[in-house]
Amino acid sequence: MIAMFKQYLNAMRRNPMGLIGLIIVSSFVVMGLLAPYILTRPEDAWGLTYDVGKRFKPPSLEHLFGTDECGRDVFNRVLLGTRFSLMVGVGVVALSLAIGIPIGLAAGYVGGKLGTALMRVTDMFLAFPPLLLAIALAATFGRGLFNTMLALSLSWWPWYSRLIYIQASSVKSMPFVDAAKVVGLSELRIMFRHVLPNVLTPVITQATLDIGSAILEASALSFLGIGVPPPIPEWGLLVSSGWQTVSRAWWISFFPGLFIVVTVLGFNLLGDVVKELMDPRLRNLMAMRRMRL
Amino acid sequence: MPISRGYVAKRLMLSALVILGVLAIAFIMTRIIPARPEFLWAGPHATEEQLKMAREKLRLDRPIYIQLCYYLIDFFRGDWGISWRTRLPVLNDLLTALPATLELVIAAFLLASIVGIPLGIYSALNYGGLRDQVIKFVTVLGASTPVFWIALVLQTALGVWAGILPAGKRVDDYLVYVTGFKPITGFYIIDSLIQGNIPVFLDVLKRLLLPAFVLSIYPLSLSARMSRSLMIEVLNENFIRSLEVWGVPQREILFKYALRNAIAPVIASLGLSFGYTLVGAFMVELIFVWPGLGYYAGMALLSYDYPAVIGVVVLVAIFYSAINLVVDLVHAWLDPRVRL
Amino acid sequence: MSGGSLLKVLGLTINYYTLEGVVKAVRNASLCVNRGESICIVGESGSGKSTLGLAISLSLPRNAVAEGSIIYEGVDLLKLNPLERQKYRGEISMVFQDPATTFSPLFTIGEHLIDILRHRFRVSRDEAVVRARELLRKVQLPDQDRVLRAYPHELSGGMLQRAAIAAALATDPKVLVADEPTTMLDVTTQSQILELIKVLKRELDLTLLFITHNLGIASEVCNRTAVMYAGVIVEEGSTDEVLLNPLHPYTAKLVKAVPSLTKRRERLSHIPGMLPDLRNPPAGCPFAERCEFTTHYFDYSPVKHVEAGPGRRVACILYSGVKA
Repeated sequence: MIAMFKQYLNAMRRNPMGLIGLIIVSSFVVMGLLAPYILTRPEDAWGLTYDVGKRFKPPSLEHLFGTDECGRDVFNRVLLGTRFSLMVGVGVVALSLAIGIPIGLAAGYVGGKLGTALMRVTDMFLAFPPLLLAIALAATFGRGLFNTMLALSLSWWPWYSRLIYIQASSVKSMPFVDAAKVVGLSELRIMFRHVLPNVLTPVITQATLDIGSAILEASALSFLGIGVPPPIPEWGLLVSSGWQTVSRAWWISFFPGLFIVVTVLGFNLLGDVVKELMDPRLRNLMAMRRMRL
Repeated sequence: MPISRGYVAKRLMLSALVILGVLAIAFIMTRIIPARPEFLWAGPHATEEQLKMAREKLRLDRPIYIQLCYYLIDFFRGDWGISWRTRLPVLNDLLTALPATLELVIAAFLLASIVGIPLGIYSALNYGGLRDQVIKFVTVLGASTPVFWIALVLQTALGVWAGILPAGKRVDDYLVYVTGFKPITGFYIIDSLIQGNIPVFLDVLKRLLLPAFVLSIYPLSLSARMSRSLMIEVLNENFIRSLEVWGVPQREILFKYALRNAIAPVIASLGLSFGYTLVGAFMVELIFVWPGLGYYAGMALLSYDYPAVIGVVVLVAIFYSAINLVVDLVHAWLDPRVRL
Repeated sequence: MSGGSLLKVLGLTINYYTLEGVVKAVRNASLCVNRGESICIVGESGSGKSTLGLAISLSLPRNAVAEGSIIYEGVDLLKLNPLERQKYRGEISMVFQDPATTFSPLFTIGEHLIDILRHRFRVSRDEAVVRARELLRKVQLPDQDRVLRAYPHELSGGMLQRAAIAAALATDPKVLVADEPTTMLDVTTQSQILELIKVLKRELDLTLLFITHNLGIASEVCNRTAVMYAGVIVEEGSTDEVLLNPLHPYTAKLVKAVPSLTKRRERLSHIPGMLPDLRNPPAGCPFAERCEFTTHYFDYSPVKHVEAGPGRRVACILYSGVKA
């Protein structure tokens, strides 16, 4: 474990992009956790105020990111939005894992007709273009923080169940599983206590790195008006709130969008390094200076 | 290199199954999840009379599987419900909007593939070098940018402030009036060329440029990243080394053997890239007031026009599975191992 | 048949630059290969024998750096620029361990062969097809036309390895490096492939460099043997002498670990301990830690090669007194 961690650090040192990703992700996580305590104008951030005199003020020292159509400080709203966007991202991934892991595990370990049927259902969900099913589901469920997470995870889980399925069907034939059977452990116990821990690492890693993409998709739902409801300062919703006035008050949409870009970029940069580390064939290449072609 | 008939049959069966699955999921969403499906059908402001009609239409008093049968029959007869917003049959609305979307999506998709794939391969050939690092960073950035945000930013900056490109709509209404331009196929680029209407053609092209570019950013980055990593993987295969030892020149190894081996899976990934383009069009069309499926869906979402939303979703999903069918057949044609 | 040395490896050191550090795969290896002879490089996995083979056939992985020299017909192959190197590719050809990954899965066997022939001899496509068919006949593949049209996944491992040998011979090489060509095959196919290589060597007057971990195979194919351990050539000599009278303690252990069909059943011996970490190999004898002759006042300075008879060398401190 420590060796692995050291390897990661080593890789980060060689690959500055991964380091940048790590810094971005960790600072946004800290920001999301601390957000409610470092707000300078909490009422603005929570969307409780309305001040006609301060509407559409451009960025200044007093209002770093300007003010919005209700005279609220955009900086404070974006800052608090970190918490909600990350929360949605984590929630989507966690819910998807909760659906995807049991299905993938059952399909991979039990196999047979049940496995085929489960994977057919998984394929069915994957047959939708990305985000489209989430749009339909979110429209069905109605606006809401949890509804958004649920709609996204219902279209997201097949990726994980497929990953688990592939892993579990190969682990199934390993000697320790036979050993567990010989000892007389129940199938359920073998599945969850012996197979699951052996297939979990890659899927958990993948899921952690997917938080960025989940944030991206959640913001799209919010932008379309079927995601998180106002006055929650989720980033996609903030972009959407400045949409109609963008030509005279660009800052309302610009800054929350910029925060989405930077956060998702952080997760993606980090993800690239981790993926290269997990793929042994890419690993040796990483040290190479340049391909001699 | 013929593809076996068995493979085509199997793949067609799978597509049919997928479309049935899409319909089943749509059925569950419209009839089973909502507590009172008739409201979804007739609209939020429906009268008691309309609700009664909706209940009869949906046969809500019959068992679920009978409902499903009628749902499928209606679907294949082209009865996809009535939009609350436009008061027109949903399928009619969709078919009217389709060409506008296709023009935009195909333009963006072609841009993404024609630029993205060579970019990724070029990056892989320079693995670890400065050019590779730059391309890698730019494409990660592209894959991290919400399409609606970059659409707003570029529309405002280039369209509204700088005035370099028009900020919305497919064609200038005034120009259409003056030149007597008539849409025939719905693809304005083709229509204007058929009619030899050069001013409209140029206007259409100019207006297509910005939304198509914006829409292509995400799939372009995706294609570049995928083709880069696939190419790197191929360059590490043993056969590259053996061909090298046996004296085949680098040029030929790269552009014949490596490229072909990388291109097959890249082609297979184009379906996903097309899917992102299709759904991204929802937001880009809304922002650029582009009268296609996405704009229709966006307006439907904003006005809770449920039959229209489900109609778009089903149509796009079917369209997507058709694209995937084509992609898989091309992949099978390129790779003998999946042809069986 | 003989004609002096064709290939000379002098002080060759090969390092792999990996994430975990620099792996010193081959250290200060020297080897002399005479025209027309067949020489075996024996060693366990990780001993650097494959790396040595790759270096000789000019196909080291891209993260490997080689120092020293490989002299082939008076030319140092390591000093060549890419253009010149291209000329020598094919002069020294190679057959690889895993036939399943030797060919590109998307091209037919014929396509591979034709491309090799076209570039090597500047012949037309039609001419190349004729020659390819001839090559396949030479490696005793029946129904050559079918094989030419076949994709790699349509052929069995044995057939693929024959096709790979045909591809390696397509360049009309002087030296053939065979890197464990039988390891991935089943036993009956193994002996057929070995037989084929022996026949072809004789027919085409090849110089053979056979890399294997199997001493039995070494004795069957080669007249000379070099034993590698942890990147170092520890012993070299005629195959019979090395097997019957091993000088280096490692070779002795290796020979004892080979099961014999003729002797009475006895316990197979194994070598206790593990290969040293090649990122940080010991300065002295690499085998010292596992060697039964190591004493506590062991000298850890680098071990020199000692001539122990004609064509016989050993790198062991035990013999440094014999003839210094």
